[in-house]
Amino acid sequence: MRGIKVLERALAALPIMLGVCVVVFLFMRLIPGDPVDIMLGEASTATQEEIDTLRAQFDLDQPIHVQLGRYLARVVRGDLGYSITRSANVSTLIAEALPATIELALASILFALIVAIPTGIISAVKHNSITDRASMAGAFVGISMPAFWLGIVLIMVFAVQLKWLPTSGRAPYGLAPDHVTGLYVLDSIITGNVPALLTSIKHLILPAVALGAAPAAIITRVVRSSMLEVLRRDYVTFARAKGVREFAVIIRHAFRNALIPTVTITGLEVGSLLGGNMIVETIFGWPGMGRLVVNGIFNRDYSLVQGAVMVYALTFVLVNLISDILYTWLNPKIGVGETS
Amino acid sequence: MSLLKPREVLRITGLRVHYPTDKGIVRAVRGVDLTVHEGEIVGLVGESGCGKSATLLATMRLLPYPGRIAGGRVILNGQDILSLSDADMRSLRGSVMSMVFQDPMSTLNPAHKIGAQIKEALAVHGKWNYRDRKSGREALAALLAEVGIPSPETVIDQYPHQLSGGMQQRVMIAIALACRPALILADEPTTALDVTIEAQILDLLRKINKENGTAIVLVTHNLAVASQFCHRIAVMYAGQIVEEGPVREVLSAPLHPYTQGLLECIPKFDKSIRLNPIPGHVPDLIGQKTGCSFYGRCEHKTRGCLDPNRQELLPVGGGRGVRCWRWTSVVAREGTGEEEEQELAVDSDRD
Amino acid sequence: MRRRLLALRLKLWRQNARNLYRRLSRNKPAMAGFILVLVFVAAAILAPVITRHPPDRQNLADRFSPPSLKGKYLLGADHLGRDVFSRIIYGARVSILVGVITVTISMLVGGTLGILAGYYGGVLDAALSRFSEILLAFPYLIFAIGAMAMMGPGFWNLIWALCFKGWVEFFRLARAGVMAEKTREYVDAARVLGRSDAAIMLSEILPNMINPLIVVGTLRMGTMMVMEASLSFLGIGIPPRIPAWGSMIQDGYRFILNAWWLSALPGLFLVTLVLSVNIFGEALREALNPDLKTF
Repeated sequence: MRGIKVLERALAALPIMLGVCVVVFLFMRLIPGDPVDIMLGEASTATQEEIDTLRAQFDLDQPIHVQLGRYLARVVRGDLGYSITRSANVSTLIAEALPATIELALASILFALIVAIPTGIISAVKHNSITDRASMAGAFVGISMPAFWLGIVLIMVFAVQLKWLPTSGRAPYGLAPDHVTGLYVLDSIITGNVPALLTSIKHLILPAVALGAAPAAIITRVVRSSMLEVLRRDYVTFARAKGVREFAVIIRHAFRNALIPTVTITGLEVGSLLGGNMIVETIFGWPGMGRLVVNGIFNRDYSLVQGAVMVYALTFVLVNLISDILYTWLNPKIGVGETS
Repeated sequence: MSLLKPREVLRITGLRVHYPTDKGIVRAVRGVDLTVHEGEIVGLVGESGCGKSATLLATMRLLPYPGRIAGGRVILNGQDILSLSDADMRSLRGSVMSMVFQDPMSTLNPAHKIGAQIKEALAVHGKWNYRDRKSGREALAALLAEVGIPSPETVIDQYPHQLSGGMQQRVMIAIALACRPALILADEPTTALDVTIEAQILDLLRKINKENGTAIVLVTHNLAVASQFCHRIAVMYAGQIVEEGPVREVLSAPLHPYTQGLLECIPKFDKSIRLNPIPGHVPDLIGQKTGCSFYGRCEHKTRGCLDPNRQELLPVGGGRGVRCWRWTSVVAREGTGEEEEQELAVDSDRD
Repeated sequence: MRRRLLALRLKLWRQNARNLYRRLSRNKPAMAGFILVLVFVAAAILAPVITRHPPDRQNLADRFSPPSLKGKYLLGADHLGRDVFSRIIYGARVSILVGVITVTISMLVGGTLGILAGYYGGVLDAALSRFSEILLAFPYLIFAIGAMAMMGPGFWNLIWALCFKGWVEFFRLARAGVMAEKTREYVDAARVLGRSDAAIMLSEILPNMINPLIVVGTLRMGTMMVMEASLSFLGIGIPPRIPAWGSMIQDGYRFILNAWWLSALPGLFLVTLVLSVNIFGEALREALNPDLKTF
């Protein structure tokens, strides 16, 4: 029964994905100037023949709806074009960079949740105490700090001054684990490669904290406010009236119901993490999608940017879908597709 | 009925409950004495805000922040529970004394299945000793059947929102009953239900009282319910009990002006009798006021009613009590004499 | 009759405003935030007066002077010998202007579209909603980067780029607000009285749903400021001639080992300003909904 609703939801996401592809496509076409000229650069010595070939290769000689159609057909096949500046298929480049971004996003959200959930719960339970006020103040600061600045400060303190952690990169050459999933930490565990595991984690810490601080702050506030709301509810008093221990009341009764808004906001944050990590990746030299896109934009690499942006957007839609599904599963009252 | 005096299950003496707020301390309960014997059903009756729910919550020591018990004693089965540690108190809740709340939809946890919620009540007090799932489920089903739920096997796996209001309330009663407590505190258990369902729930509670000897304190603002259901009744006003006694007698021959006023508020079918609401409104419970709290609305008031020394609950024989020093004149419906009327014209500042 | 209604409305509005002010002024951190914001704004306006050196005067002899209270450069000098303090104060202008203008435009555009879509429904609503959903699928920064890459650096390009996605949030808020109010009785009453659609939307519905918009608007100002800083950091925001906090952080990043203050200080000011705006915005939210206290 629920499975059908999940499928419904998944199908509803498809038109959005289609819309995303179309928008990206049109967007790129709106860039002023001839794309081929931009790609070749100003001091190009290409002949007219070569330019025409290039044009044909990119379908630029066709009317726009044909271009769109062919583009979509290629996308469905997984062909995202060819990157001139990097001399490789866009799909390949993305496939290399995506795991790095995913690993960073996961680490950041993990950090955020580890900080946010206990803090939020404790703040709510000890409402108006010093702990509460302090964590709310901290949350405010966390939201107000741009991730890239925090990253710089962290590098300054921990990498430069204290020298505890590396300043950039993902893992030094030669120490990276064998490729299984592309997520270094996971791969190190799978292949039992302890030095790789340690170094991967060390490189992951600073960027994850820089990126995860703002989401941590936001999630803390959501956890706290939904806990405050839930702790006032009658069923919490009833649970106490049954003689349930306070700890169980807080976790099993209260938090279980506060989990729903928490999941929703976490889903939103993961989505925004995927987007906001471009600058952080640049600062930390993290070889992920963000850095790929930024470089692509600066080098006017048409296909690369197009493909990368699309993958970004599609991932975002996917993450929202997953969070929707989780939300349904957690809330027995709501079927997928209804609003509470 | 045994000739021996039935033992006391609950004895509350001088209970005071305060809620500190920005605007001052709200004195929700101002010296309540209540005794409940084994097998007895006591009704706690009054308007909204008179402190009846607060009394129950204080007895369970579950007052919501910032409420606190400011004085008095609560003795449950001979044990002073106000001085117990949190852990000891917790072991009493749900096992010796349990509570049923007003709105079952918001009191049952929407995210847990019914079976799980009942099981929790048992497990917390070490009464879930079933070797396998099957015998556990049978026990749950038996409990649900006891409270009159049809097809208990299905209900065990359902969520609260899938049940009707009446069913939910039965579940709540099942949970309250699970550990066979000596006392059930019921805070307006039928107010949120339809009248027909209300009758069923009250029947259920009566059955539990008769078969298990469970004492019940029923809080309600519905005098009709109280009259059908309770053995004894205590009328509360502004945080105090103003009259108490066997239900038949109190309701047929009320001694306190407030009780009289309540009864006159009930619409009767005789169209010639007009509805007679009590003038004025409930006093706010902030700050300490001396003298009778019903003064401003009473038609029998005199200057002497403001005397702080005349505010005791006076025993009147036959297990009755009334908190009105002029109750004899009130009963005789003498009203105020002329001189007293003139005195009254001067005191207009009380409310 | 109309005039009496108007007078009554004005009186209610003044009462509400006074209550709001009272609630806000009791909240000390909020007042502190508000005052800080005012300080920033004042400093930005009075920039030529309070700075000793012009922001773009290079003095290579003074490169990398550290911050010193008594010395020539209050907060030090950057790699070209420019006064950091001065550049920060002038940079405040950029941040504040971007924040205010972007939010204002987003609110006006998004709000108007949202009200229209919510009120009239139908094709307009469906089209706009679909479009906004698709736009939402893009992470904000990418969108802005893409747009700026397209258009090149520039103050108004930046504003446009930020607004292009910024209006969506206000659109959804306004639309939800209108749809909630649309079915209420007072709208029917107004219709029966023969008031035009526009009048109903503006004078009846709008005041009742504007609160969340104001709160979100205030909070978004901080976000926009951070966005601007991020884009300037990447070099595609404000043109490099104009001092902006983001580009200052970028410039200073290279010299993090020797002259940490070049990156750290502009960031600190940014954080402080955003923090003040956020605190005030949060207090505003609380004051407008007294039952949802965060503090």
